[in-house]
Amino acid sequence: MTNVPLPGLERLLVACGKYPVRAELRKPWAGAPVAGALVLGRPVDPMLAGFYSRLGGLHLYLKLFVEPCDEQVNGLLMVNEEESDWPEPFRSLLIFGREEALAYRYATVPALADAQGVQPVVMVDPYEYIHAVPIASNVDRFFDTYARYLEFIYETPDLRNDPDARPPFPRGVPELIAADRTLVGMLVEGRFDSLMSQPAVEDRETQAELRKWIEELQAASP
Amino acid sequence: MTRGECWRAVAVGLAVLMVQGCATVPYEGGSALSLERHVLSPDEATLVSTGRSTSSSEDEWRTEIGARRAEVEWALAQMGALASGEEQVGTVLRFTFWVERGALTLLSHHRGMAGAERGQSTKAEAFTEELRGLLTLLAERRTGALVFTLHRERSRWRVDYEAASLEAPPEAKQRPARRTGYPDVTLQALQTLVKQVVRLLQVPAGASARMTVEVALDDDRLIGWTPGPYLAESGGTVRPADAQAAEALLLAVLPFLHGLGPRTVRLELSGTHEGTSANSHWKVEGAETLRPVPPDEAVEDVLREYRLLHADIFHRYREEMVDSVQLAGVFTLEQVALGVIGGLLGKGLHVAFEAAAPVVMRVVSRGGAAGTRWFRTQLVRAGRKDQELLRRLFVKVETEGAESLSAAERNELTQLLRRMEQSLTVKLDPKKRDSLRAKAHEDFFGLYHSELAGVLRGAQGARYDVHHLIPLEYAHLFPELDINAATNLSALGKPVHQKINNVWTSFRTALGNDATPQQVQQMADITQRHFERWFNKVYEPSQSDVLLERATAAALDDVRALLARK
Repeated sequence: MTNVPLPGLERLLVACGKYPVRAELRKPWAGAPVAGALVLGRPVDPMLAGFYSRLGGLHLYLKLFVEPCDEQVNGLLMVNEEESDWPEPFRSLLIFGREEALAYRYATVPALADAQGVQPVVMVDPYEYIHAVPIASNVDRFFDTYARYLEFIYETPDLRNDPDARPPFPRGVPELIAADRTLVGMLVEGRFDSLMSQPAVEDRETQAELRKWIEELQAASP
Repeated sequence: MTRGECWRAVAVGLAVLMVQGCATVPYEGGSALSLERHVLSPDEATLVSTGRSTSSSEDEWRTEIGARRAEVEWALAQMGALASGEEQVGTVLRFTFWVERGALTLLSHHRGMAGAERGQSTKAEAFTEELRGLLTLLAERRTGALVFTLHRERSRWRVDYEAASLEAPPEAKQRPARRTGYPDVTLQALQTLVKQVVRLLQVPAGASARMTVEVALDDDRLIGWTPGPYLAESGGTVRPADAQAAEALLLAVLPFLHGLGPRTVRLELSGTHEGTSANSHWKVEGAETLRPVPPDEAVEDVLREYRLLHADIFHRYREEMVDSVQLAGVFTLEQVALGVIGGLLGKGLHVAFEAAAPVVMRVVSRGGAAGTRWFRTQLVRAGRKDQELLRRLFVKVETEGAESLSAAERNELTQLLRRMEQSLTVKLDPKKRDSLRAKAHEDFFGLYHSELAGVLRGAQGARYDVHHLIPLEYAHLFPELDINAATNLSALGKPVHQKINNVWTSFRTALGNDATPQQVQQMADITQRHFERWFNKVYEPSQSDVLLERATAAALDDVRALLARK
């Protein structure tokens, strides 16, 4: 599965070259985790393994940071260890990235892996009441959506010229997230319910915000 | 005077002015001052300037040269027009201009010392032709006030000039403009004003009278006028003004339209009646821009910055004819915040919105960079729809004036400010929190502490989390606080951020949504007291892990004590 096609990642790398994004790419490492390998007992998603077979990490300055995994540093392991005090079910997610300088983390959901082991992606918001926001049906789709986000903010004149006016990823761009029909289908089917309602999410306001997120995606879904 | 002599005098005058800064130089051939060896022509002067510019493209520079020439021609035309009707020997006309980057702004003109003798007829072109070269060079090289004094002699005008010591006036243009005409709507309004003023100009037969008129301007628009005191000697039946009064008034006000921002121009008028004439004769003795007492330094700082922004917008709109819709897309929210605050304060418009948005207007009227940043933070959380609405209204006000807003647009603006006011005390939703967090980390590592961007990085290479001392979840309890102010942000290593979050979690769990602003402030004080040593510092686990555990335990004790007091 290391040769799994990743058109979303390709699109993201093209966007990084095209727009004024300060991007750092790390060289891949022969010892990178393969599909199904366990990190603190959590299986590595095949597309994430595909990513690490191509790159040792990806860093967009003050934006997306995909944990490095190479000879120098095993960021994938470190970040999951750092967040080991998260309560369940969030502790069982496999974190692979973050928004730099913020506490938001991007993670795959091993419990929702399909027959091929492909896992959806959530953004974990640990501020205030910890909760997870579903944002992609798989890792490559996540990269694809991030690429579309960069295209959106750099192709829209008032957003390109004014960072203050840019909607935040991912909650500011539900229309981009909702283009992932598989994700919306999973939400409608209730596949994420165990992550998005009690007892995982204790706070009622947070539960309501998550319901609103699902409604926004459904409304924006093509 | 021959052409060569003329240009020698120009060069001498320029040299003296540049060396002395302030001098009176007779603009006459045969001056006692020694002549420069090199003679400059206007084109040569142009070449001097071309050499100075390294950043502008050739086309831009040509445009700038054309604009400078247009400014000079405009100024000469204004002086010529005001001098053209003066025939009495001994009349002195004094014009004060501000010159900056070749842009000329008239600050005042005064008339005085008329004698009884009528001189030979002379055309204004005669002195404007001579003055052209001098003015071109001065406009090219100087920034500051220049005073030109025109002396009416029997058969000609003699011109003196000197530099004057003045602070840059707020109405001064900062870039030369090719388009030196006046908007039709302003000309129509001015003609109406002139008719209304002329109706008031009356002189008792055989007597004299004086009157003051104040004209309110904003950019190149006429906003209104008010009559000032009218004083007349006793005499016979009052005689209305003659036909020349309207023209004199028009010529006196027109050149003041080339300025920026809101201002008042005061006209001093004098009238006389002689003999058996059916009408009185009026002259404009003086006209000058009045300047209000400067506001305090914090407000003035913002206004100074705002004026630069406004000058840029107005130039693009009037000179480059950039459509206002296009302009709206160019300005950042930071500029919009500055424009809104500067525009409201500079024009005193904030009072009109105090009822709809008292807190917003209170913070805005404090001015200063902090006020601008606070407003920008509110714009970041306002969302795209309101951001676009404000951008559109802002550009319209900047280009066409606040009076150009329709009733519907005024209502839109009031509603927007009311929404902003109401949102100040409403808990932030996730999207707004995300926007503010994204802005906080950009400002922290890009603006407030760029020196830390390369230093504060975790083992994986990512920059430390940026932490809000008063958390975003309680921002609604502090409506006048800029939640993204530098003083409310710090970068924390992961272990420290986790421990502080744990401390806040204990508080949140106990109080839910019932926390008061005082309790939140005490909590912020507790976290600062126990964890400040790690704020904006590299976290070294070997040196700090034990200390961090102790600090956390002490902070949790303080939280328990705080909660016990509720």
